[in-house]
Amino acid sequence: MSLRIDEIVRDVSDDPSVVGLIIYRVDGVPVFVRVNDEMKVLQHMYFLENQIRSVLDYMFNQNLNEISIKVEDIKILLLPITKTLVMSILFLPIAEYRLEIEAKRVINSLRPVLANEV
Amino acid sequence: MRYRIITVATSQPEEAVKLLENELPSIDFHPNFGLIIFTTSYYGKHEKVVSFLKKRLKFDTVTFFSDGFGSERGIFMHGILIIMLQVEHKVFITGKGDIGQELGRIADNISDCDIALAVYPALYFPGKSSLLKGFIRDRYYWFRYRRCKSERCKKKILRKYSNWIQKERYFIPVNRVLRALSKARIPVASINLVPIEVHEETPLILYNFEPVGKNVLVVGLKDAELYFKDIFPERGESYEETKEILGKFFALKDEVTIVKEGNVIGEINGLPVKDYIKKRFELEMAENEFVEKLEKGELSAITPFGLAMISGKTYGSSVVGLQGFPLNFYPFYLEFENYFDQGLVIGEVFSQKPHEFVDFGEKMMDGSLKLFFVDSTSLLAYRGETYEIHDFLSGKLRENFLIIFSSLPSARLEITPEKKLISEIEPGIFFFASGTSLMLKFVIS
Repeated sequence: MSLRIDEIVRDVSDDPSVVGLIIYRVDGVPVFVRVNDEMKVLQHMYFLENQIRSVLDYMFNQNLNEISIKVEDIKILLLPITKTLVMSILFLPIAEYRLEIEAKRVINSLRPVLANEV
Repeated sequence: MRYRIITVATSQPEEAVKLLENELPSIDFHPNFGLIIFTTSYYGKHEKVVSFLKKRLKFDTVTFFSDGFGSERGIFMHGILIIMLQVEHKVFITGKGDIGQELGRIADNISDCDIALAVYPALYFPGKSSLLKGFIRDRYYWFRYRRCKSERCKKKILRKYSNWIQKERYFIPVNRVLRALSKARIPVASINLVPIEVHEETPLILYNFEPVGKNVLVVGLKDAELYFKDIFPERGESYEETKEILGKFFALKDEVTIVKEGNVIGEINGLPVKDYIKKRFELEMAENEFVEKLEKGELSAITPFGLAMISGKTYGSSVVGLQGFPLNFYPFYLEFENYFDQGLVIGEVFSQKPHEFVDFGEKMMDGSLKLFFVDSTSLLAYRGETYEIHDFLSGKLRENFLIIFSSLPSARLEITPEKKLISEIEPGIFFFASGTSLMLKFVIS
């Protein structure tokens, strides 16, 4: 399963601006992590773990399509995959348009894979 | 017409070659023409794939870079799209002579085709040494220009600078290309490759895997149809009417007076364009910063601010993007002789839904293969929402469609569209600089 996810998200996570990609469960537990820059991801995972539950609650209650948060030089894009899973991409905000569009395709590919699995 | 499409969704050239090695043997017909599109993120690492394809594809191919592409599988910002066709076609490339005459010669040769596709660098970003030559020329003409006491003198200098910049082919004006090709009396699609992210010696266009340089490549095609649209309201019947329409649709900043000649603007409201931009938008870029950004591939050719010029021939309009480039003059990829000396400085607003770019109504509802060339500024304007274009086409057509995000889709049409498109700047010639798209249809046999 993890290999299948890894194969799909690679289209986004291979982008040179991406420092990491994490898939969270709605209760804030990370279920998949792909790291390109370990230090940067660790630093921001701490922030995310503290905030993620309230952010996800807000996102699902308000039925939002996406949320983006800027922390120092890193931007975090949160996109719901299913009703219980969210993909968060940590990236340096260069050519964001490119990343956002790639992310949409990856979400579309992940949905059928994850909908019934987690 | 038979066709086969291959999409490779990876930014790693080694992986791309492996994927192509698996895909290419499964082709069950003999293509005679191919369009190969690399995303701009491949620039600099495309050689490995190009040399692999050169060995494998033994038919006419045209290769260029675009900001992204889409197929039934989704929208890709990293990857390669290969369209292989069995279609009656002819390919011509301009030579070193006068571009108008060269295109006239090509027009004579394509008049028996159904449509033509012109692929060329409307704006060419040269290497460092040519760039410095360009800066010196700019200063040389500017020195003479600022000593002028009359507008006639200023226009004379602008004309000389315009002739030089076009002779060197740093700029190939879109309306000049379309006017010259109109001799063929067939619809012409114009794909002008000014990428969002600029590198030295780009745009790169290859014919049979060899660079065509600063030339116009023209493909004449049989059994194909061409449609053009823009997403803006219709133009007015007079300068005042179009001005009002533009003012309502865009974020209007200023109404200005311009001194222009050829494809060059000398002044906006009595100021050199770079000084006007600095004053109005606080945008400026030093020469060394410009060169450095170009070398690193961090220079963007797209801007949300523009100067809307109104055509005296049709009362249509085109927008000149306003960037803080370190030049005294402001050359552009349009010849300005048919435009009024007044213009509107505007901020770009796309209030339409993204799918408007590709909604060609009933004309798209048949079983043909459709290539949609969509203005790449839509990627910046809509970002993630651009995906709606794919969702719309998947819902409407399900299959047989491709989306190519390219700069400045423009056209010369034989039949004027029912709508009075604001982008019609000369009778039958359509250009706006953003918000436009083309649909090329190939009949499948």
